[in-house]
Amino acid sequence: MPTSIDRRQLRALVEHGAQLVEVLPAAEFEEEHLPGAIHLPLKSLTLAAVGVLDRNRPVIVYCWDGL
Amino acid sequence: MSPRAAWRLERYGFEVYDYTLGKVDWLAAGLPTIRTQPAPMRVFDALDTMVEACGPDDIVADVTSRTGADECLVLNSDRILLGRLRLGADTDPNSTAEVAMHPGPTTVRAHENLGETLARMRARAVPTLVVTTAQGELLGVIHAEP
Repeated sequence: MPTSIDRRQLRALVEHGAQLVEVLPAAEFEEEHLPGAIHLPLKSLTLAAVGVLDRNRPVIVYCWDGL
Repeated sequence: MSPRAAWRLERYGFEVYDYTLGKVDWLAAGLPTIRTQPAPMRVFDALDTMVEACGPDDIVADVTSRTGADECLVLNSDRILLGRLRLGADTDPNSTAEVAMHPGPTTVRAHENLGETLARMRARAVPTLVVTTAQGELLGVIHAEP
């Protein structure tokens, strides 16, 4: 079960090598995103697409407000 | 949206965390982002962090002598905004800040449009506005006039 985290936990995880993934559509990612974020929109989150991620490191996903 | 993405990535075998409060929480905290195009100034860009603050158990007379200010923000130990204390003649100097404060002052988030916010403040004759995170943690204030 994915674990819900706050921004302090996010920063700590990223410092320890976690991968940050924004799942919003391209326009929103291009307008503004968190430093270091990779763009993998939900609508194209296929097994092939996630090949860009390192399976040995945790992944943190975020959108606008979790909805 | 992110919960569904988190479940899908977990199904693909990843160790997954979900920052459910999302980008809006990050922006509201005034943290840096990557912006690919110029954007209007935000409240964060005019933030004044030199704010007089006190705790809820502080005595008004002590706060007045310590700060020399005519108002003070009341914060708990986690810097969560509890109220706004006006240090005028009408305030009982022997009461605690918590008793004398005005609870629940109006606040604004750091990522909101600065020009629109200043225009609202001027229209309503609000000289200063408190800026907090979405969780109520104090970031500073902005002033209607420089």
